[in-house]
Amino acid sequence: MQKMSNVKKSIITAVCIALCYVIPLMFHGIQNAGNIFCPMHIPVFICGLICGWQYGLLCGIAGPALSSALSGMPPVAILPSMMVELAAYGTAAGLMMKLVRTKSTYADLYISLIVAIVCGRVLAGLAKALIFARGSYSMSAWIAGSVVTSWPGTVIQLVFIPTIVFALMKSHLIPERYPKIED
Amino acid sequence: MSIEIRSVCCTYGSGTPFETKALKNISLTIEKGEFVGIMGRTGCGKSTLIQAIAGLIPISGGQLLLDGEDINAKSYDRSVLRRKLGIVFQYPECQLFEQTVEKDVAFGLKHSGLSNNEVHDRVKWALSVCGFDYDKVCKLSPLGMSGGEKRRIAIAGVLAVKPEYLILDEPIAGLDPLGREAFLNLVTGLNAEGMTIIMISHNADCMAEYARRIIVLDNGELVTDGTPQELFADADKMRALHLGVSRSRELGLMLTEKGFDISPAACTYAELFSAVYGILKGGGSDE
Amino acid sequence: MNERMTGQFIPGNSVLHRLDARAKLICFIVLIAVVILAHSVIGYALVLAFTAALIIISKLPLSTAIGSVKRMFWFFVLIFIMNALFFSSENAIWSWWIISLSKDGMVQGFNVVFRVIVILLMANVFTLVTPPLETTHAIQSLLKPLKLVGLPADEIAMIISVAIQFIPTLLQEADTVKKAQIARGARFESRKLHERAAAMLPLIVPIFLSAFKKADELAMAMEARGYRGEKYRTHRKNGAMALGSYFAIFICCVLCAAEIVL
Repeated sequence: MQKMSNVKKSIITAVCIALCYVIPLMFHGIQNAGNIFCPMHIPVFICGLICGWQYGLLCGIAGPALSSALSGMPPVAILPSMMVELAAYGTAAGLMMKLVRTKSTYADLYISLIVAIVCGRVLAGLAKALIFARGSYSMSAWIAGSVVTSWPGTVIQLVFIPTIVFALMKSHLIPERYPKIED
Repeated sequence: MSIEIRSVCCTYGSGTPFETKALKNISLTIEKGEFVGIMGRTGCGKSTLIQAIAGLIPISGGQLLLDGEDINAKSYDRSVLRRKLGIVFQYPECQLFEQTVEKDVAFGLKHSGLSNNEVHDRVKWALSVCGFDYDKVCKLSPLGMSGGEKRRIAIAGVLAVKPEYLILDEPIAGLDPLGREAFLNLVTGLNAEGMTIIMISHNADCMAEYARRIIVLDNGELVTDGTPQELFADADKMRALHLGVSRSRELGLMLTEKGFDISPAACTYAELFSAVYGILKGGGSDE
Repeated sequence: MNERMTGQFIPGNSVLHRLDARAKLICFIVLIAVVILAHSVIGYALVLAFTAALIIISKLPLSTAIGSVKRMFWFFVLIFIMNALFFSSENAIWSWWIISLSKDGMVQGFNVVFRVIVILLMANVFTLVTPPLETTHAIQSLLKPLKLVGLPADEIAMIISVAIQFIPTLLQEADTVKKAQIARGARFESRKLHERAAAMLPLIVPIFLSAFKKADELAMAMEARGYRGEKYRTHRKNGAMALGSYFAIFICCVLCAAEIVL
């Protein structure tokens, strides 16, 4: 995915930021989808994986901020910790895609995703400890919060994100990671 | 067996400063087996009307009956509506998402309760109707196909449910002339087998040639409802509505201006041809 | 979904409506600090009184101003319970495994919920009196100082404004995709978690595809017209803020100082 110009990466980032607002709205009809499935995380991962860590970082910060400003979701009070979490996702996903090259796009995607998810959850926990409750946020509450409430979101991310990336490659909207050599 | 639209109103953003009335008191009946065209300039409420018929948006007044049943009634089973009525949106290729053509076309049949064999037959039938060889395409990714192919796959996905009523929103926009004709022939074929067709189009030619009845909407209101011949006869009115007339009718008007006696009801190519042929033949016998 | 196209903005002619969006944004950020800093009963009372004053000045109908807060009632209950039950404290009233109910926990829960509600109310007022486009311009001009630390502020501002311009188109697209899949028989009302999750795929893949297609078209058009990056472009200058704007920011800063003291 090295062949994209900076202009294209910028515009893709812009679209992903917009999707941070649009996608959660799309799932309004599905009961509790916004809380359990964390749909806003998906565009940030995609942006980081496809465009690189700088763009993923920007998307992780600007996406939730824009959505919060336009629709009030996420509420401003949980926005900072969410921005830390998503910025970590975008950055880690971008960096891992640069570092990991196993010659299999699937393997690269999964390794990058899992590392990014872990990084993001840990940083979000720390951020919540600092901002939300000023030191009194207990470890057990964090574990309960990040494992119990977000496992469906994690599963969704692991299943959907590679699917979306492959769909984009098949539609020739982003270049193949390991282009086949023409015979 | 019909779609009955009884004084339906539709309002967007009611209660806000952005309130707009998209449909104002529309009443009409579409009988089974008809080929109805819906025309009107951008923003006239055509898309709102078909989405209301398909039960995709709430209506703020009136009733919508599908085969005598109110589709907005609490007791109504929406899966009946989904099975009876298929809708092809503008640029339907945007709804493709599955990894293989077979899965994508079968998507709508997931909750139909059909056996695997029946699903397979339906998919095969829908693909062949849309001009594909099942064995060649079933395992391909629909996303990697060309624009025209993608559109036909998406339409196959709607046809696989074998709807009794098929709604098409600007289905020929962006198709090349050959693709356009092939597509319209496909639709006419389905209509001949008894499928009711409701088609939105801006294209006066295609409406004149294929639709048997045309409904014109303007500013959320029903303006005219009649055969293409009746509609295009009043060329001034059609121009005032920013819709224009078919090219055959245009040519007919020019010939009338030059003093030839062409019936205002000649709006299709065949009708114009026979009118001109009649004059030329008549003129020949005079000499 | 169409109702959300314009954001939450409601046109009006109050002092808050007319205030410079940049000033409003700065005030808003200062007010968030105010709420986080508040730590006593008097402090809380002051915050509450100021929020009420904002709603009155904005001339917004009360139901609109507090609407979204009311809708989130259960969310607040959840936050409260989470804090009340998972707060580690020595003097627990009742405890089992990792759960422990304590007075400290309930106080903590109340604090968190109070802050969330007040900030939400302020955010609500802000978005109700400021058109989204003005908000973007305000963000853009407030990002300018980032250039001094070497960040590509113009590039970032360009990306954000393109993102905002994409929103109406993408909402439309999302709406169409959703309707198309429903018409094809997609179901979202299942009670089973995995079925509800699976129902998301037919929506999310198409919306990404069409969004990226639009991105591709725009990027190509921009490059074709010789766009190389923000640093090669000239920008129109934003006017200076009026005196009233500085006054509004000043009031917020005084409030902030008051909260530290109280």
